[in-house]
Amino acid sequence: MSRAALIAVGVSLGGVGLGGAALAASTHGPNLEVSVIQASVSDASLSIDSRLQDLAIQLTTQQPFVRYRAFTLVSRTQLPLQPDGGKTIAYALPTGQVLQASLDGTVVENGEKRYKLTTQIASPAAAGAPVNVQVKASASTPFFVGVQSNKTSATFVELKVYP
Amino acid sequence: MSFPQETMLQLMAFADGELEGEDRARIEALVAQSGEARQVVEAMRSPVISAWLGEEMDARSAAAEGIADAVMDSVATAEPAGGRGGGVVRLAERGGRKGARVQVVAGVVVATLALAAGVTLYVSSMGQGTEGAKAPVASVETPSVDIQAPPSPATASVQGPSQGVEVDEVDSPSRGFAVFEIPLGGSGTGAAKAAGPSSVVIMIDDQPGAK
Repeated sequence: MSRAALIAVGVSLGGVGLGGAALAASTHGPNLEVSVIQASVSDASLSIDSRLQDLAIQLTTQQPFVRYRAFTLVSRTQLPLQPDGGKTIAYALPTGQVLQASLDGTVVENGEKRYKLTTQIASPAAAGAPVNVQVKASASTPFFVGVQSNKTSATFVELKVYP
Repeated sequence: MSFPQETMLQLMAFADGELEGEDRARIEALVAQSGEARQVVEAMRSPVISAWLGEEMDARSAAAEGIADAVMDSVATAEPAGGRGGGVVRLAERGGRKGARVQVVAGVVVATLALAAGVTLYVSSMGQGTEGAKAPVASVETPSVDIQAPPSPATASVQGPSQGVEVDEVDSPSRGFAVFEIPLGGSGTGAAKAAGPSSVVIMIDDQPGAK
């Protein structure tokens, strides 16, 4: 086989590999990334977990984050979402609370696919009904649900949908 | 090789010492003036070529004589004895061996010079570096695939036509909450901040009855 023929075969196989990877990703469906951030008031200098550097600007300039001085990433995981009102996923947060999320559907606005999510954070040990939040989020765009535990600390759950 | 065939044959005859008279004087002058002519003569006088030519000549002469003998035999058979067969002269008797040698020598010299020219071209092409070797590969075009680095987490949240996050509903029957809109995409202010996508923070009071 000539060298040109070998190169042509290699390109073809590369295309098959890329196509297979894209097909595999498409069959996985959207994922919900859940990051749990512990924030606390501190007299020490500002401290931001290195894994949260992409949020540094928001954490240091925007309410309600600016109330706190130390930010630690407690956990980060991705959960598969079932589209169009599929099964609700539940995730036990390190704080003892339970996060539930479901994908209610998708819409296309201005040529962009957006995800309609319903999330619920419940504290089994605490009285009262859980809090439900419904949002419409662009892909890879985070939003936060914060729970103020006391005057000196809070837990922020960062939620991000990956297609 | 720039010599005409006749001159080449004379050069070979000169190398063999078989050239005489005006032809010899002319070839001597040519050899004195032309380095190429000298190369031809020296090549012809080379022991290796001479030995090879001798063997080649013997083989060709034997073959030619075999054919001539066969023709003569057939002619002798076809004509009656004492007829006009006396007019037939054998090739060997007319110096045919010499003419055949000149032809063989001419062919060998031309072939030798052509081989030398080929070797010279090959060596000169090898001295041009690796660019020559890459030439055939250059005709195979790389497929036009745009390969982009994956976006960093910071840029992934703000790139493209992202419209950010909108809150449709917050249902908190027993707890207080607040919704903060935060810009994504840096610390811009004013119109720059408003133009980019935004996100939200829903802040919930964990103490029931705080609503």
